[in-house]
Amino acid sequence: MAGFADLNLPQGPDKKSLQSLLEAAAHLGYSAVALNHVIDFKEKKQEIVKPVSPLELFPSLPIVQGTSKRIKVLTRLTLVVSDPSHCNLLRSTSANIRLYDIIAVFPKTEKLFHIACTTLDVDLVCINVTEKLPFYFRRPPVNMAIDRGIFFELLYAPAIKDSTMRRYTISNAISLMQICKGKNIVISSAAERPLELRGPYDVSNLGLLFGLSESEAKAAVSTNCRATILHGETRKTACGVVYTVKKPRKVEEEETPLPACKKVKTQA
Amino acid sequence: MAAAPCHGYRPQGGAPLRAPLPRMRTAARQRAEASSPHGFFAPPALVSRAVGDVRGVPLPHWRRCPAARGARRGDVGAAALAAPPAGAAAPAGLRAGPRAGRALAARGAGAGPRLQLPLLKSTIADVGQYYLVRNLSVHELVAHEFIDAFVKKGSCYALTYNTKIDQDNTAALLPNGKLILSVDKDTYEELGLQGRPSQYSGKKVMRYIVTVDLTDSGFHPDSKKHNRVLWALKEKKPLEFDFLLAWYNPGAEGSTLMSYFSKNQIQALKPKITFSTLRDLECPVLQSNELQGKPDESCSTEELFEWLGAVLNQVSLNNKSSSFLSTYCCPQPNTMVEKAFLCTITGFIIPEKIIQLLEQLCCYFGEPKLAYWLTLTVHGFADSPVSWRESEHGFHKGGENLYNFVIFRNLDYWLQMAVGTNDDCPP
Repeated sequence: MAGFADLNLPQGPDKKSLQSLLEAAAHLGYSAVALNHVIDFKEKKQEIVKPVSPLELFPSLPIVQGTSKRIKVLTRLTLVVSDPSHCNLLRSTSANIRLYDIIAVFPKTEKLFHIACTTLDVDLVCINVTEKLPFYFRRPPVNMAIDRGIFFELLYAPAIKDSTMRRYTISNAISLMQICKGKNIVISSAAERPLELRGPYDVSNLGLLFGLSESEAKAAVSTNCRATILHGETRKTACGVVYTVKKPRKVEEEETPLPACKKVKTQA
Repeated sequence: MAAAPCHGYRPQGGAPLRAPLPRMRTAARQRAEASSPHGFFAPPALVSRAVGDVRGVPLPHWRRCPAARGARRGDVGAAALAAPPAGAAAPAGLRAGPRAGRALAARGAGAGPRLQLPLLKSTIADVGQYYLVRNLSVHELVAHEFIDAFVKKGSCYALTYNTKIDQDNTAALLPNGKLILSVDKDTYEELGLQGRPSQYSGKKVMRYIVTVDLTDSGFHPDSKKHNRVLWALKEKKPLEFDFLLAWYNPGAEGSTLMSYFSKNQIQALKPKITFSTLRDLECPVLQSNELQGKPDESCSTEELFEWLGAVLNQVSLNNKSSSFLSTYCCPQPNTMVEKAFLCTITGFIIPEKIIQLLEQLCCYFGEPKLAYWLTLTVHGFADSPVSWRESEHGFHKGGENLYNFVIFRNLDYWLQMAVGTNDDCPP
């Protein structure tokens, strides 16, 4: 099993609240978190900014409870798309997008869901949990996404805040499970406060409610998150096999082929 | 075989009820097994870590309980497969590894606690010491100086500290000389040593177990095996952990662990011991030859196991209507005991010390006492890679592996062994 990860911590402007969120996540036992920067195209045109390096934001990262390692902080970008023209940003060779570790897309219509699952170069496809799904899931795009190594993300913090959203979360999750049969699911919080975070074993128990089996539910918080992170890393490589690392003093040299875990179609 | 020891007993404070109360099974067990509100791994009762048992050490001059022995296989098999905790069994010999231990002595009214406490305290105080070494590389445990000095003489136990069996890499050294490395997929692919996938993997294997036999005849300093292992652990993928170490060597002095690892940060620690006296405790009535319990006469082994878990976790047994946590009651028939003595020892305890403790506890019944039975519960580490002998131990949502001795006045005993989800049946 891989270490537990929470791939959706909204990145607010306040540094102190982020620090307390990180400390809560480390205390609960998460080995890796991803700070999420959400871009919504409905509002006025936003530029994609460079991700803030976690090392600058947090001088000292908290230690994960029960181990002696520090928590790993990644950067993530979520694009909320409601129009096919918004996807052009992903296809463009904008330098800033490449700097994020994980890229997620939040499709609002069925056509965009199909495009995201089949053609877009993303790691996560977010599933709406705050309102009734405007479209039904169909098997062909979902199976294509599973083949490509894309994961579906479910959030649980809205369910903590409001009881109506709880109903939508469970109903949307169950309808997704009927189509994808529990594969390629990632459950993460969208916690804005430390109180909305839950421990990894509790989250995998929540997965049981959604219809996952015991091993799938535990994988949704650990193994699948690791696969998503690796999928994001391969975007910076050549076909996921070779990547270049800048050495501090010498000239750039290429590393020899990496072990099989770094392939694009992650069989991990 | 002596007759049932509980003749002449009369329940105090009213006759037992005609119909047994419905058993609420789940409260105590859920407390012991489930995660606390924040989803932490170990319930509050389990604190420290140890390696699972390897060698059976035969117990001297024990009287076996014949009825219990006949019932062993069936009970353990059926109960262990159905649900995580296993039923009662009375095998020959003690299968044990370093553990955290608890002893509960149920005593009758009138016996002065002050007379017995110093005697027990002095025996418990001598549970030995263990060492915590920081940032120790695993290749130092494979070095031949270490093997000759510690592994081949006496029994050496080692376990990584602050590692989780379902998330990180873990290593353990068993007293029979085997080094077990439980590594995740990335580490295994980079390490280059032969191992097998974990039993609890499913379709996608994420965990591998590598076993290195240090006392193997083919593992001498110049052999290919030794060189390969040393190369893998030193140069290919150096693994470094904080280790808990203990060494048992009766007789010959040699260099101790402290002097061998003086270059690393090593500190000697003693197990933490706490004593408490429980007052006005309801205890179930037990008969040593009645494993299943007779209605209105004695309680069954499962009921005792649950009650013990409730008491050790300080769950109140009175089924108050205002309590939302537990509706658990002491199983019928029970008796009210004025004082009960509870001692908790937490640390990296080796089985040789547990056997000494067990023998001292048997001497407790040497003088006539009012107590009918006492129990000794030993918990294995939740994050150890092995549980009984070398069977693999995993952590799904709980990693308990424990055994419980119930010792009666006539020196009959029950042995109950319990495992968690990702575990083999105990022997």
